[in-house]
Amino acid sequence: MLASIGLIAFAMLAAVPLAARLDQRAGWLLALAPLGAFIHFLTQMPTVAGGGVIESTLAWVPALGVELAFRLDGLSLLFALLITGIGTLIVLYAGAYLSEHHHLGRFYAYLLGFMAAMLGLVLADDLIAMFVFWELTSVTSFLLIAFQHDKAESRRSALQALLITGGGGLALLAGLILLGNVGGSWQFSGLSAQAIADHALYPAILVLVLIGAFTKSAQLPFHLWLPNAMAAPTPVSAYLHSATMVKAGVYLLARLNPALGGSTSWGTILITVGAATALVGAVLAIRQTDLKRVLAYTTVTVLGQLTMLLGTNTHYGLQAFAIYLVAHAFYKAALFMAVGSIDHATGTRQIALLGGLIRHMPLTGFAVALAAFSNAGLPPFFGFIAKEFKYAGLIELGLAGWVTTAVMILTNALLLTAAGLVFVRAFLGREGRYPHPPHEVGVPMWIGPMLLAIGGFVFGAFNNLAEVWLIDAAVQAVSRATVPVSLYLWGGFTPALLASLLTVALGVSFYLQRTRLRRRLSLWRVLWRVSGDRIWDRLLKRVFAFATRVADRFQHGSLRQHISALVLAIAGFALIGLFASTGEDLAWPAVSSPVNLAALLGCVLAVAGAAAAAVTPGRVALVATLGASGLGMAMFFLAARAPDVAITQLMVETLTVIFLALVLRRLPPTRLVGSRKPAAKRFHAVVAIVIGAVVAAMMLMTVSQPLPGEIARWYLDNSLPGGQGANVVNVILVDFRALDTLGEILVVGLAGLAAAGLLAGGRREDEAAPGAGATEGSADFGSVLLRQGILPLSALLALVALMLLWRGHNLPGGGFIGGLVAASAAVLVALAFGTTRARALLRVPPLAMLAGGLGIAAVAGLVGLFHGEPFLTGNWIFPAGLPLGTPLLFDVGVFLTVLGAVLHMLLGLLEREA
Amino acid sequence: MNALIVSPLLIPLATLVATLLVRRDPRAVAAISLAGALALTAAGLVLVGLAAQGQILASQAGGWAAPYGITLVVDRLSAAMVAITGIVGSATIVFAMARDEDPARCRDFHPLVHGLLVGVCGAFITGDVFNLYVWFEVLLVGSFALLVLGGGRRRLSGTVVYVVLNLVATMMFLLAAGMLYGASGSLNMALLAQAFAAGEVPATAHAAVVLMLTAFSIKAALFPVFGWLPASYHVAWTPVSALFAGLLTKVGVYALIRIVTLFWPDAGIAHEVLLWVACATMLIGVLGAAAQVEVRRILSFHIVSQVGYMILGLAIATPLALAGAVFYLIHHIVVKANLFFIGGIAARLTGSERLAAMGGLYARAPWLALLFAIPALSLAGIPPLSGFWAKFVLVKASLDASAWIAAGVALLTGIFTLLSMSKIWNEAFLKPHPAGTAGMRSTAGLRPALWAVTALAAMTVAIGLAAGPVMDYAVAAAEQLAAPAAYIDAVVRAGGH
Amino acid sequence: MEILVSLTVGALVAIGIWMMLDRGLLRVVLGVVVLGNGVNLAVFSAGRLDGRAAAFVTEAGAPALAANPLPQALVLTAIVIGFALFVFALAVLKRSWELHGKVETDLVTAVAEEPAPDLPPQGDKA
Repeated sequence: MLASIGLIAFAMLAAVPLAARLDQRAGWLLALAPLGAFIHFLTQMPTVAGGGVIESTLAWVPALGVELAFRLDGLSLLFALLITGIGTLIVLYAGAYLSEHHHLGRFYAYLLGFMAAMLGLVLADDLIAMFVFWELTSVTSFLLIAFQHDKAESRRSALQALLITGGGGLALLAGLILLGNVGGSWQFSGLSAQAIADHALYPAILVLVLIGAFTKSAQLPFHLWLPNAMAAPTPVSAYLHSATMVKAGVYLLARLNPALGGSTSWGTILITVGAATALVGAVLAIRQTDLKRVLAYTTVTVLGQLTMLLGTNTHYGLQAFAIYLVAHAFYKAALFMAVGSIDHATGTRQIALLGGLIRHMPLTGFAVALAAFSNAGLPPFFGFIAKEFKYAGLIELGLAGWVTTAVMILTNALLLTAAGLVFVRAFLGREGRYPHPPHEVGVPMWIGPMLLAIGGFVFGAFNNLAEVWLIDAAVQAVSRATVPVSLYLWGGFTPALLASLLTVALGVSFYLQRTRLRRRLSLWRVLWRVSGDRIWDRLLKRVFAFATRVADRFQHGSLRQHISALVLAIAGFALIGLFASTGEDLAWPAVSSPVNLAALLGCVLAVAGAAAAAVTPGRVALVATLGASGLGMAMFFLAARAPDVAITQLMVETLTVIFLALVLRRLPPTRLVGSRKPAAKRFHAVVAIVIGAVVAAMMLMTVSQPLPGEIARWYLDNSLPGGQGANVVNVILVDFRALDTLGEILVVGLAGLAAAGLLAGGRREDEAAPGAGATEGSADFGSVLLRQGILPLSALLALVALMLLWRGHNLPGGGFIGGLVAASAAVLVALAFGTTRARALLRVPPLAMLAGGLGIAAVAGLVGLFHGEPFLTGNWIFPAGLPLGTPLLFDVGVFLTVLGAVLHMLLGLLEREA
Repeated sequence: MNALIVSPLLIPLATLVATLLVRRDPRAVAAISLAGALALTAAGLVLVGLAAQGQILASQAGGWAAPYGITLVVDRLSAAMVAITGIVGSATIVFAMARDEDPARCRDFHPLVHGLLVGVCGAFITGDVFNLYVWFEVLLVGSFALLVLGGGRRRLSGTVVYVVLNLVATMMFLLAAGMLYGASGSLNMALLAQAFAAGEVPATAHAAVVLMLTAFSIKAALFPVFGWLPASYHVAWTPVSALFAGLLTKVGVYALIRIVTLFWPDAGIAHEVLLWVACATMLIGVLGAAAQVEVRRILSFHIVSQVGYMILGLAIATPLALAGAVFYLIHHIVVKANLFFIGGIAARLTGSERLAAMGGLYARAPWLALLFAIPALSLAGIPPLSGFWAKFVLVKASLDASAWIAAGVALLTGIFTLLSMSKIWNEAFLKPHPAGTAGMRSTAGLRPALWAVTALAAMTVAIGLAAGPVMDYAVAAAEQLAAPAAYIDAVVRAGGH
Repeated sequence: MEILVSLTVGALVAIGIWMMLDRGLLRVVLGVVVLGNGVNLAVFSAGRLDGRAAAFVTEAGAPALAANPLPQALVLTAIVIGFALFVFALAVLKRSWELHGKVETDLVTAVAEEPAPDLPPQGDKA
């Protein structure tokens, strides 16, 4: 079983290279794959007909209980034979039909891919594996419908089919998952019908599974994709959209009939939907002017009837199901292929233009005649038996059955009319008006229809053959209990025969009155509007319009709207968090430290400066107020006994002002403050106040409780003995939590790298010649005296920086602060003497310094690794009692990175400004 | 072992330094960069190999015991994330070797990518809240720099939005980290988890965690705070946007998963909220995508929608659901990066990334069509590709947990995803090029890009067909997440002074 | 003191956000600084404000009322990171002024929502 799928899949892979070399002759070779599989399945017939099943299983996703379990029983075998048998003929046919097409290889690949998927679908016993193949048939069908991809109609139809069957597939997935959970097994053969029927989820499972099956099998109201799918090349229509894929839905219903079919709702839904679909399909069929579309709608009809038959669950109904399935596959595939041949030979499929073709295409005509008889349900063809059993099955149901039978008589009469259109209208009568002169098609194109049409006759005339080898085992697989199967052409004068006679009479009269009939039908405008594509188009348009409305909410391109939304969301979630976690007991401060005057002053200055910056129009004032705010921060930190933080804040503030000053020179004045509209202004104020209030509240609640844990104490106690440093903050930075610092200098380095490129005006470094744009010193520092003063000052600063670096482990300072001070020194030099001089003084390019600093910091961490200790573990030596260790080396790395990054940005900026 | 744990940080860091030092020689930069990314991949795979055996590796940086020193910890999820980061990083670097008309090919690209990778990997392996903040900053500043690479009006405009909104997010993270410390007295995730489980933390610690999760949600691009993503991803240079699309939001997702499973292992109100957020994210994202008419904008909105799936797994919080989230993460990174790559190639061949101005690729570049079809169908959850399993597990987990609406939304999102993907397929591939065959451009110099794309597509197929082992790994990873005791234990045992 | 600090944090955050909602891009960038200051203050204060001595230790041990050193280290890290980010933001501001010729926030950010431009015609090099 698996080998047969594999064989076809292999042929799929080989299709493109083969077709590239052999053109349409590749078809003969490729057809061997499905033929081989067909023969394989033929050899399985004795086992299966004898009531046996063949199973094989491969593990797939054990964690989910999904396995590639395959099971060949009567139903699978019936489908497998149809798929591979008709598949062989189609591959042959397609080679001739598309012989001129430059994408023939792709076509074969898709077709064979579909075949493998379809085969997997009907053989799979695992629910999920079946679904996998199910979806694959949808995808390959999409590719095939869109095969003539330069036509907008093809693309639209393909998309429609994909969305409808894909959407149904998703419902099916949910249904299968529930089914597996409820039914106690992930295999069709293991599902417990009792457990499912009794479960509260039964209706949900039923609905979901039915949506999946109905979309795939084009039941009302999902039928509209199928006629549109006729945009595909005819071999595809013949194969996928009549003989096989569309029957996947019906197959699934049949497969699940034993597990799900016991309820009244099953029967009611299936019969109602099936019968309605059949009738609508038949009515729509005879309205068509294109022969292929006629066939497409009759396929809808047949799918409806098959669904309906499964719903009856009567002995005759289930037999009729199996018989009709085969009969239809035979004659419909034959008719489709023949229509394709007509199209191929005459250049048209328009009924009005056809006539008298039997003279030009006798072989095709003969095949069509046989197929059309079977289609029309005339004895002794297989289609006749199907129709007889169908009526018998319905009548078994009682009153509801009689009503349905009446509908079916009408439907089947219309089908007969359609069959008449195909054969009588096209092949008999007067000569048609053809775009080019008709001719008989080649062997690969008539052999398929011929064999299938003869098959329909043989199975009808020698129905014992079909009964024993195929139908019996299939019916047993579908039914909930054993069904006695016995096929016959003549069953005596039964109500079914009466219905049959009525059908033929009605059908013939319909055909004779077809012009008037069609005129009558076209009066029912409303109906065509409802069943047409318009709803689909309108639906899609609505969906897209809605989607656009949603997208516009987020694609306004306004940063301020983005910020407002973001901030409000943050405040909202924070509030939820606050209330959800603290509930009612919002505690009032339990801890309250006395107010420190310097800290108070710092706070006031920080807020006042910021507030002023928020409303100040001028650039200079803006920088000044912001600086004041930063100063306030530093003051607070100092008052809170955090000298390192305070110094860092001050140095950062200094450099911030320098950068601002340099950049602002080139920016236009910022006279305007806030928003233009007062309403927006108010809204923004509300946003700001809300987030401020929420943060303040969270903050207050956090700090007004005592701080749990002893971590702070531990750091204080272990700094000197463990980290060899008296400055606990610095020891944390370079030792206890040095990994943070490593990340931090990386941030500084990356920001330096990135900002430098932007500040230098997006200039590509490799484009600028070395030295280009180098400055000769700023005019503001023009005084010689000043310059003379700056050099020693810078030297002093550099010295201070080194000192800060060195002593930082024990006193305020460290790599950061040192690096920032050193950067300031270099900035002074660059401003006074120009960047050329500054670069010369530095000797090392800033970028190399940056990279080197990062490297040194990392290497300092590696030392520990070499000793088998974790990364960044401190290693100390004590030459002459002086503690030297890797944390100090790490701090040097920090120093260099900070210095390198700041200089890289600043020098680039200055050179650009020059 | 200590070296192995820290290798995801050190390898890209060393590569960054080396590429900076040899920057005069572009070939050397590219070679070192690729070697570094491959080494990172190798390290990640070794970690996966170790983690697969159920070990949780932990190391205390500096040799200081938790909570004083910083914990580095690698469990199954972390290991997988590091490996996948290496893979996507390598693919990006290979892709960037292709010839391109974009002026972004400057020397800074390679060092910046590795800087970003340090941040990403750091976020995946750290076990310390503040350290996580630092790595977030590293990847953030790396992403700023990469986003703006090459300049141009549009790119700069997108960068402004990206930078400002992400800065707000990162400030909130910092605030939350500070408050969490202020409330609980610790920054170590494992020990905090212990304290949370024992009920030893004040209520405000929970509030701080909520604020922190909000910050992660911004990073992960969840509804309603995803606005920055579709406003900026489409302006970057192709390899950059692919790298972002693959990795960045997933760091946020990872952080959400890590924090929620550690601090709130049992389903509660947070999970309830997350469930609604996840549903809204899936739907809004996919609807937003349906409205787009440019390839990368479609894909960007889909990132949002798919992050919703992952959060769905987190919200449902059963082991199966978490396994779904993990599987989704792994699958999505590969697929999404690849789609951005392919979108870039398609734009390069057709001269535009507006669907209306594209076309003709199916006839002109069938190999590209195949390469697109694989990740696109995977994204839409078509079996047997990787995305199907991801979606299947999550839908199953939702149904098992009786989260009917969530399952419905997840399925509905699937069909819309299929719609978007087939829209790209129909417009860019099937439709003839509006300017005729003359509108198509040369494929010269694209070879490295195709290698990258092919490798990732092969991975997607492999994850789908051999879903068994990957799913086993995801399930085992989810078991570790669902029972954080082992994680905590590993950190405690890591020891130190 | 706790109330004072909390109010200061709230005020700085509110002002920072208000500035980020300004029409001019410059103030947006400066708003980031103010917001950052507020957050830094919060992180610092999370270590409580009961320190009476700086966190320096001697052989004899640490002062009994030493300030909590951990948040200091964290804030120091945050300040430097904030500075790096600020410089980058400033660089973006400068560059967008050069490229767009505008500094009105929404006008600048709206550019990213314009339809994607076509790629330049392929040169001879390809």
